[in-house]
Amino acid sequence: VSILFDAGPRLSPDEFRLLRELINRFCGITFSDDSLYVFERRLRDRVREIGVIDFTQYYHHLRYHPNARAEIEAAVDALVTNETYLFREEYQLRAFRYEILDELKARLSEENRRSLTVWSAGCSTGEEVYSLAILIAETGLFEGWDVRVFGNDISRRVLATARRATYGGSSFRAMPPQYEQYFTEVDGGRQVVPHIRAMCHFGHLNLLERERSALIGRADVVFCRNVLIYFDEKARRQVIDTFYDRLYPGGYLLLGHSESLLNSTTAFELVHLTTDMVYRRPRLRAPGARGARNEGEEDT
Amino acid sequence: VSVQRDLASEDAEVRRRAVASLAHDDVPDRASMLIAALGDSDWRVRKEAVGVAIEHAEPWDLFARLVDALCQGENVGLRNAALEVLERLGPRSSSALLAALSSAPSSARKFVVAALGFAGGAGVVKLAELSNDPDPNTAQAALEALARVGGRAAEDALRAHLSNVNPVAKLAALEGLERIEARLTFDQIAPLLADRLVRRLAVRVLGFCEDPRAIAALFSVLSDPSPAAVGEAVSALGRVLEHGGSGALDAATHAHRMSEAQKSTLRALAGAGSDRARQAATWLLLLGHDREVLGVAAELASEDRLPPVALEALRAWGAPAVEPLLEAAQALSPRARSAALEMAADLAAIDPENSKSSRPALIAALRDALSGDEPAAAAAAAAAMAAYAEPSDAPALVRAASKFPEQAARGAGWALERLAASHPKAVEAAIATVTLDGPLGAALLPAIARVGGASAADRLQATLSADDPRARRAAVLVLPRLGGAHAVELAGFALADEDLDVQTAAVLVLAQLADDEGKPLGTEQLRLALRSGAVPVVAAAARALGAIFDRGSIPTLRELVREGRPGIAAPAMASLRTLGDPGLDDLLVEALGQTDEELVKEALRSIASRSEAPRRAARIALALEHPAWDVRQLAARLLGDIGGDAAVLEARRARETDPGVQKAIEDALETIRGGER
Repeated sequence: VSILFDAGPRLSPDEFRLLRELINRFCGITFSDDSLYVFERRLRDRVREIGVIDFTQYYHHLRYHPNARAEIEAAVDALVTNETYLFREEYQLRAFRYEILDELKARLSEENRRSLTVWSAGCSTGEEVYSLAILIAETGLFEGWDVRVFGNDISRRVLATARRATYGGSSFRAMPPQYEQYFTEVDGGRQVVPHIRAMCHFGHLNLLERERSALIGRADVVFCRNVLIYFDEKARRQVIDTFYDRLYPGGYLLLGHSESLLNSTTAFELVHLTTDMVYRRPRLRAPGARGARNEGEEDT
Repeated sequence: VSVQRDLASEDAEVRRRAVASLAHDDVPDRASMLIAALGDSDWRVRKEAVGVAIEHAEPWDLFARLVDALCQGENVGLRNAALEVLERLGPRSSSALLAALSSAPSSARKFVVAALGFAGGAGVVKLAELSNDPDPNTAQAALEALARVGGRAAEDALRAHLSNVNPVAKLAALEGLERIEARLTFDQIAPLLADRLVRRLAVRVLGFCEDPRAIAALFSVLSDPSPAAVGEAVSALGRVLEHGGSGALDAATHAHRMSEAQKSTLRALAGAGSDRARQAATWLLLLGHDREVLGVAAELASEDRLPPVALEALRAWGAPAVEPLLEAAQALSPRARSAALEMAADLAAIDPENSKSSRPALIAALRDALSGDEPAAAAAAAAAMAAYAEPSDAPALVRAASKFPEQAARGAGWALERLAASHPKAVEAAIATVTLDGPLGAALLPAIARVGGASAADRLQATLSADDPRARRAAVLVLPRLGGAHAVELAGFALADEDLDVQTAAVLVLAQLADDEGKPLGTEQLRLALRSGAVPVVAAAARALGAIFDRGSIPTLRELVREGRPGIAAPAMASLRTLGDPGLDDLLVEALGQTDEELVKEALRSIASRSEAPRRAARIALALEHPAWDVRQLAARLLGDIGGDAAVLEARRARETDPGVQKAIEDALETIRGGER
């Protein structure tokens, strides 16, 4: 028997199922049947850290310990790969910059609202939040406005990285060179410049906690890319409902390129932009308007 | 009237709220209103209606109406919502669905049949009959439903269609059998391999077949021109290896004899196939001692995706893989390089005799990583040093632990602890100036305890007052090294620590402390810990008192079981079982009715362990109806162990929808029938 690699308690299929279901109930993330080994390897450190002897005791800890919630978060943190980078899926960001922001500027100005809120749901280490803030700044459309880009994640560890705003080489692998001006060299990497950081806010939020999501207020755009793929259908529906609630009428929802709402909801309308298709919460119909609804309208 | 008005509102939110109110307000004919709401044009209203329908299906007698909604053809939204309700009602809807089969219009029968797939075993006989229905849609739906139901009878019905002349039915049957992981004989599969339509699936199910001919056939598919077939064959071989037994041995023998062309195909898959294909291809190549796959193996290991069995294949390869692993490591990403280092260290430690020549290069690579800037590599090297560290490595281990306390400290602690056994002075000198707090203190304390002596005792005692609870807990956990009354006293103090995990550690330690004759020294403190208000502390104390066989704690443990607090009652009951408490029987019936599944499971184990317990099998059988799958599964297993009533298990099997519980019931029935024979 090895004394080094792969040493530690074994995870039985029953323990795996109990842990997997517990985590799914907590945050909606679903793991496939062949994740047993991933669970075993990644949760072993947690088992050692909290000082229990096997995965059954670890399961009991997650169910009964007064600090169970913190430990479930730590377990999720260990299980989920949070790897992301700046300006990921750039074609979608082009749609955001060149079409969505223009439309929002025009509409919000018409409504005399000089504030813009963008929510990056499941922001991981924050690269998407800063990419969005940089794009907003680049347009120059919202100068003097109250602009906020809010990022949330269930992992406290990734949020700490996001707040540091300092990234190493791999985070820059897809960043177009014209955005270099928004970073300065510091110890340990390149840091986002203060005026962009000032636009960005981070919070610890479980997307399944619908009521707590009200803390964010209402958003004009929600980015939730490559997050829903980890959720089961039930959780996905719940999260999409939350996005619907949190978006202003006319607000946009942008999902990852492999994700769609086809099986989840019909409340959003599909909007065809030049470089992408995005979802939009239908705009409000004017009070007193009668007859059939126009495309893109919902009742007040 | 107001509900009717709201249900007709143009505003979807008003309609949704009206549907929700149907559950609480006693409105005349609310069942009809609810069914109408299932067909609403807005998804939110339908969703609300589905929830209400599931909750009130029985009291409002909705089954016939739901089946009507399923069978109508005008409103697709209504049909889908009705189908969702019937599916989620599971076995409860089986009677209504079976009754509807004779009257449903031909266009709707397939929906009824599809819903039967969620209704458990009660519909299997009918579904088997319908799988031969002249209407191809119905027959197809029946085959899919059989696969969903699972179990032996469904498997037999699906198997019968493997020789069906209708290729679509044959494909559906094979898909179903694959889905329920049925074991087909090679003779059943072989003819399907020649059928282009089902060949790929046939290759896949070969992975469930232990016949040596199946293994040979799978290896021959590796030379197939179709990449899809090759991918299936590799995944199937992965399954064979995973399953173990004679099939795995055959596969390993074939893997040793693979041609260069076959290896090349596998390398391509290992580098860029699906996850499963990558794992299986890597595994096969490791079995075939292919040096070129070692980099991919390290990459998979660094992502925690190298299955333990593949690691076993690497270990079986042994010391000759050390050097190629170190070579491969140089071209890998930092994380994968760490994994390669760790694996090389592992192999050399398992087989020191045959790895002598590669040892210097290995140790040089480990030292390099230990003093480098990459936390993952430093962590891997530190842990590996447990097998290779020399006295001169102690300062580097401490430095790495201090530099990367979260990643490398634990591994460095292990290495120093092992080194301290042979070279205590070197370790003592290296750790002398380290401040023992935080994760660093927690990691290094066992090494200090191993060094021993007055200085170590002083540092250990000082760390019991550290700021960071992790360090305090670590200090408590090494108290058994001090031993004696002083350790008991210090552990007793730790029971009053403000941190629950420190208290729990104190309980664990108190259970270990004993005098020279093995008499426990911490019994009094453990009994006091039972009075703590904190769940983990009381639970640990309950377990500990059972472990040290303290019969004096029986009355308090009984109280704890009676109180039924989640997290406490179950360990208290486990200890009462260990202690052979004669009063346990009185507590079991009540425990079976508690909401905490862990308590119910412990009660079931207690009942099963007491051969004299009244109505033992009948009581356990009650838990077959429990809502939690793990409770039902345990009940089925225990009934198999004690020889329960096969008829009861069969009745449950007909209604059971959870695959894990179904399997446990099947196994239990097999055991019981084996015993009868």
